Amino acid sequence: MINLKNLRMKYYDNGTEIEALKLKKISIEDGKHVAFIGSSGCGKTTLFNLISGMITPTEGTVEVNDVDLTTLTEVERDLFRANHIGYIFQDFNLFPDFTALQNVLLPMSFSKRYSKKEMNELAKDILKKVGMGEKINQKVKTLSGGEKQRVAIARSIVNKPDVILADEPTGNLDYKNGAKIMELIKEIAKEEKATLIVITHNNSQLDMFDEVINIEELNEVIK
Amino acid sequence: MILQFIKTNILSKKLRNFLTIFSILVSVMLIIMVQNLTAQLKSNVVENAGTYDILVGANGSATQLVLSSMFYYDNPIGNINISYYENLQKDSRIVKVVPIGMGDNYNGYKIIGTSTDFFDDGYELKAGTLFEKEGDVVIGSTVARATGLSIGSTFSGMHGLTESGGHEHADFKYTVVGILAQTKTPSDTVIYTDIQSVWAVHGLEHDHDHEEGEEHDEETLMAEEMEHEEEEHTTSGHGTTSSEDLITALLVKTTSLANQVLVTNELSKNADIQAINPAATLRRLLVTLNAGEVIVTLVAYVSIFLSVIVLFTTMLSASIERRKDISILRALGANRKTVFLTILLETLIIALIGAILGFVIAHLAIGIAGNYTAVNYGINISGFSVQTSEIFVLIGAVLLSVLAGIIPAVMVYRTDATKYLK
Repeated sequence: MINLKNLRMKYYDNGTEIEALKLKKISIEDGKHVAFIGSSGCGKTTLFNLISGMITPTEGTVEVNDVDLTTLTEVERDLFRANHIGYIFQDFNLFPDFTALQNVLLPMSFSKRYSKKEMNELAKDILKKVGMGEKINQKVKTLSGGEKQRVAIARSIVNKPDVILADEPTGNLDYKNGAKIMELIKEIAKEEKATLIVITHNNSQLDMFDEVINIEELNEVIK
Repeated sequence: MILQFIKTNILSKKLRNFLTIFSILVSVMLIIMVQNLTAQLKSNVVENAGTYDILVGANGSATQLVLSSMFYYDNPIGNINISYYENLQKDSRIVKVVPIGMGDNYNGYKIIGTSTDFFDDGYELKAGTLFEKEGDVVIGSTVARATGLSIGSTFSGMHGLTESGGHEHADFKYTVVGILAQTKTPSDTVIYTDIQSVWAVHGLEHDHDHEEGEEHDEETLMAEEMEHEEEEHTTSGHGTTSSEDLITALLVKTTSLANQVLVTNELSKNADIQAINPAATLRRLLVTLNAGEVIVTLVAYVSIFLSVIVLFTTMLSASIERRKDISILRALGANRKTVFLTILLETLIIALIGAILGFVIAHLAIGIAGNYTAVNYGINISGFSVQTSEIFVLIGAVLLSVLAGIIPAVMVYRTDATKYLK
C-alpha cells in the first residue's frame, strides 16, 4: 500500500521560496496498475522521487509498505529503494558500455541480498523473461531502443520490488514497440505481484490501467 | 560490481585516462631514476674507494688522482718515486701498500702495473692465475669479452693510455695468465700486470726509442715526448730520473684510523706528493655534483605536482560528465558514500597504475643503464636495487593523487540525483 498524505514540497531558488507540490492524499493499493497523468511540471516526477525515497517532502508523510519514508535516514531510504523500488526511465538510463547482464547485476549489488552466484543466475533468468536471453553479453550501446527498454525492465524487477515506477517508459519508442513494451511491463508487474505506477502522456494506453490519477487536478499549487 | 563499473569507466575514456596515467608514470619514473641512480652511484663510487685509507700520488688535483688511480677515468697527474713505496712497505702501521703504475693500453684498455696484493679484496679469478713473472697479465671480464683475449693469448701494448695516437711496443709481449670474474667495477675494463712489467716495457722502449725509424706523425711524437718529459719532471724532486722505477700512485691500508691520520700527515710533509683519503675526496666531489641532482629532483617534483593537477582536472571533468551515471546509480539504490568512494577508488586506481608503471619502467631503465655502465665503465648499477626513498615517492604520489580525487568525489557526493534523471 502506498499512502501519500498532506504533502507539501517547497524549494528555494535564489532565496525565494517556491512551492512545487501541495497534495492532500493519494492511496494506491498493493498490486494495482496506476497511471499518473497531467501536464509537464505538475509534479508527477516529484511524486516518483518521493515514493522512491530519493527526496523527502517539506511536510507530510510518504508511506510505502507501511514504512514512512520520511522517518528514515538517507542511507536507510537508499537501501529501501534498492530492495523495494524498481525504476524504469524514458531514456532507459542504462550504462552503454556495460553488457545487458552487467546492467541488470548493478542494482543487485546495492540490495545486499544475494550471493554472487545467485545474482548471476537470477539476472540471466530475468533477461530471458524479457526476451533478451540471447543478448545477455552484448553491450547495451549496440542494442535497439526496444531492446534497451527490455533490459531496463529486467533491471527494474531484478530485486523483486514491491513497487515499479515507470516514467514515460514508451516515450522514446515507436507506437508498435511502445505498445509491446507497455504490455511487457504490465505482464511482468502482474507476475511479480508488484504495484505499477506509470507516468504517461499517451492517452491511448490509459485503459490498460486499474486507475488513472490526474496529478494536475490533485496538486493544489497548480490549481 | 563497483570495480566493474570503475573498470568500464576507465576503459571508456581510454585516451584521456592513458594521458593521465602517462603523466603520473613519467613523473614517478623521473624521481625514482634520479634518486636511485644517484644513491647507487654514490655508494658504488665511495664503496670502491673505501678499501684503502690513503692514496698517495703526485701533487695536483686530488680528484684527478682518485679518478685516475682508482677508477682509471682521468689522465694521471704524474709519477712518484719508488722510495715512497719501499718506505711504506717497511712501516709497521701499514697493513698493505699497493703500487699503481700507468702503463700503456691494448685496444684502448689500460694496462695497469700493480702487485698481486691488489687482488686481495673483492677480486676472484674466473680462470687462470695471478701474474707471476714479467709480461704476465690478468685481464678484467669486460676486456676478455671485448677483445677475445683468453688464457695463453699474447699481445703487445700501445704507447699511451688511449687507443689512438700511440705506437706499438712490439718487442714486449704480454701473456694472459688470468681472467677476473666480473666485479661490476672499473677493474672489469683494465689489464693488470706486475709493475715490473710496466717498467720493463718502458725500459726497453728507452733503449730503442724510435731507432728503427718508425713512421709516426708529428703530433704523436710530440705527445710522447711531452709524456716522457712529464715523467722526468715529476720525479726530479726526489733525485730519480730513470723511468724504470716510477709509480703513479700508492694505495695504502693502515692498521687504524689514528695511524691513517699520522701516516697521511707525515706523507703530506713531502712537497712533491700528496696523501689523501680517497673516500673523503669522492664524497666532496659528490657534494659538488649534488647541486645538479637537486635541480633534476626539483624538476621531477614539479612534474609530479603537474601530474596531480592533470589527474584532478581529469577526475573533475569525469565527475561532471558522469553526473547522470551517478544519478542512475543513486536511483538504483547506491548511497552517497558508495558513489563518493567510487570516484575516489577510480582516482586511486589511475594513480596506482601510473605510479607502479613508473616504478617498474624506472627500474627497467636503471637495469638497462646498469648493463651499459657495467660493461663500459665498470660501474655496478642494479635495476633490482630499491631505495627506501622510492617507497615514500610511491606513497606520496598515490596520496597526492587521492587528494586530487577528493574534490571531484565530494562534487559527486553532493549531486542532486533527481536533477539528472529522465
